[in-house]
Amino acid sequence: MRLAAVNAAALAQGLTPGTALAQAQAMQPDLVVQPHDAAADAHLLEAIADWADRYTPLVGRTAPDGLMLDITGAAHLYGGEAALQADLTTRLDGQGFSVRTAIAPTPGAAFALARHGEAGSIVAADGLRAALASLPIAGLRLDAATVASLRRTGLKTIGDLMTRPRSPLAARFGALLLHRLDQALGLDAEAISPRRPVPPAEVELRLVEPITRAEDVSEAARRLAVSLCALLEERGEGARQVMLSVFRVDGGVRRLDVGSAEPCADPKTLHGLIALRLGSLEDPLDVGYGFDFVRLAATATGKRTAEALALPGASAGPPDAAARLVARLADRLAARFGREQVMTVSIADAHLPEQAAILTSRQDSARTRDGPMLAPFEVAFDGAGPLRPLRLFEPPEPVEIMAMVPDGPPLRLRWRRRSLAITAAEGPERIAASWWVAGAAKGPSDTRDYYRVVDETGRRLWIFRDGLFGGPRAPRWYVHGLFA
Amino acid sequence: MPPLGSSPWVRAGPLRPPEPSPVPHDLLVSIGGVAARKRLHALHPASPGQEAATAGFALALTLALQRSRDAPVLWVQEGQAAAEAGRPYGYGLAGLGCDPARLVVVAVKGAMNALAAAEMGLEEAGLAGVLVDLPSRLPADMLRLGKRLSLRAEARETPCFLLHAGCEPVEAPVATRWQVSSGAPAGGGGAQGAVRRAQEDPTRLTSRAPRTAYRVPDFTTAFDLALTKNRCGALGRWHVVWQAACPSIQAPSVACESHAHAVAAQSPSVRRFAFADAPLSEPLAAPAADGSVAAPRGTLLPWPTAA
Repeated sequence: MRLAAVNAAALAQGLTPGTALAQAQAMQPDLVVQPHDAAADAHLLEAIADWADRYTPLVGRTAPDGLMLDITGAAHLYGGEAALQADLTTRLDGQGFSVRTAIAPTPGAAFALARHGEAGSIVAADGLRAALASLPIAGLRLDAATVASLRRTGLKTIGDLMTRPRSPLAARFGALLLHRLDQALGLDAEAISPRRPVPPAEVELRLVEPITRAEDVSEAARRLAVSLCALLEERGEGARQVMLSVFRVDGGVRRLDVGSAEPCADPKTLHGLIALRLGSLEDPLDVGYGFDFVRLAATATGKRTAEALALPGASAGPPDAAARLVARLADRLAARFGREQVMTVSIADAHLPEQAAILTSRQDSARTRDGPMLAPFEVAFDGAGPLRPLRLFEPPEPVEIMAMVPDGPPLRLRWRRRSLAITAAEGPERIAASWWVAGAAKGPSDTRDYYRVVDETGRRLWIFRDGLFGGPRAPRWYVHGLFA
Repeated sequence: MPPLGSSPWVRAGPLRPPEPSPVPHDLLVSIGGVAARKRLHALHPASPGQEAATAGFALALTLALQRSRDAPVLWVQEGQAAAEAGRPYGYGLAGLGCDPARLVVVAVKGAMNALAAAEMGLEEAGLAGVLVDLPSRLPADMLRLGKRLSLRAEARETPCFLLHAGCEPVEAPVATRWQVSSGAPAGGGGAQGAVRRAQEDPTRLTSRAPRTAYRVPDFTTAFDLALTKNRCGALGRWHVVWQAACPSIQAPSVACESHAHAVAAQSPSVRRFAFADAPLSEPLAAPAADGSVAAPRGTLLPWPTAA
């Protein structure tokens, strides 16, 4: 066992990460040792990365324990790079972390400076070569073996590499060495891979005094909704999905998703949805010492249609109004109860009843709407009443059936612990699974004979026999639905 | 109204023929006519397993009271109630004459959430109705919650129907309370052993025993209703028939006539299958009034897939 990490006091006593535990305990008999929990460390770093999101949406992780923030165009919001750095350092210090930061024109240089340079250094593009020259080669993100063999050849600093001819270096140590060097110097491009996609539009509100009341959070969201909608309005777009992030003073971040079926650029509607979401949280917002930063980002946007852009006076036709009413109602219900709980009926190109008309959450149905559509609702109805039940059981409920002859119509049924005579039956209507589609007949059997029956209490049921007599196994009966 | 099923190739006429219900049934009159739109109604099944009947009658009332043919219908399903009584089925809705595209279903857990969802629905103007599947266990302050719903229903003129899973009535400040069960079939059928054999074997294209050998059971949607509470008028009992083709609640006698008409118009070879069996020697169908010619019998119909 070896030491994975040491604190400042241990470092001062000469213990370094990688020292064998037995040796360390021999050197310091009263050493306090805890097992290394890499997963918890990673989790904590993720949480810090989440929090660092407040400075820029482009936050990436650098192995093993660093964060890389792309603050291009973001520093002026804090009054300059130095002020941003000071703000970040102070806040992380306040949360109990020790942090080393560096600001540089390239990710490679920032990595080297933060780990091996002077803490808190800020380097501009013209001073980059000079700043890197004195740093050790380990700052170039190379594996330990390469660093060790470079050291053996007498090359210790990045400056040593800069002045050497390139081709012998590449021949001996591989192309990666020069690639890393070029990346640090800005000769090769390097992109930070952000942890979450950068939203198309976002607005934020920084608060001098932390807010703690729910109404204040709602009011902050309202103001942000107004500016976000103005931003989207300029582009002729609307938000399909927005994310409200509230940042706690002590580093916690809470994110809430709200969706809208129609691209929405109306601040009132948007705020209404957010307020519903805020009001219906199962685990309420943990206020702690208050929130000092709120961001509203449109994570998915869409072009607004002509109808949505219509003037308030010129209302569209009634069918359209109904569709929009459905969309608005579904959005509000989804904000309160969750997106997957709100469903509409969608028609599928299938023969099995439970697949032919399914309840899908609106999110999914919007995606599948382009698929093949049948308009076969005529089959639902004949001269002698509806052919399909109003309520369908999923899955079908097993039932015991007695019939005069095996293949005959049902005469008695036993379902939910009651045995009842069947007074009328009609059928069979044979429905088979899509045997022509490979792998479709996955169920126990592929043939069902459906009957409409009335039992002695007047209840109307839709029952079916699954399987055929003489088949591989005995047929079984199920209740599939109830007629009105 | 065009006769239903006049062509053996079309299962039924359009689901929404233009004319509205001609004369309101006295049942609608007794609950205040269109004023019933503004009210909260409670329905409970007369016997276990009649949950589809309560939902069907609530839907029937919604359609009978609707102002527009495409106004959305919100159906709130409480998890336990949904498991016991089943989920709404699109084709079944269509079979009652309600376009399934109008339906918005929200699945929630617990009676409180179900009532909250109903209230959100009643806040929107323009819904045709709100159906709430309630579990058998109801919150203690149902009186207060019911009052909220009835105030909302009145403000938006949207009827709200509380469908109780248990057979005992809902204790809530409702305008009407109904005990519902599926009605006994109106005419023909209903007797022990009245069995309609639609088909022995769908793969056999030969002729079969004539259907007249059997009595045809009637599956026309019908309800046996008991109005046990009514703030706007008299109580009563009804047996009514729901006419899906022209959404209206009718007395059985009136409905029976139109039903007989529909059955008579229906060809014996009407099938739900892609095959139509009949002697191949039969003549081609004569051109219909609009000039279209029905496909000859005995031919294979196009398989129902999207183009």
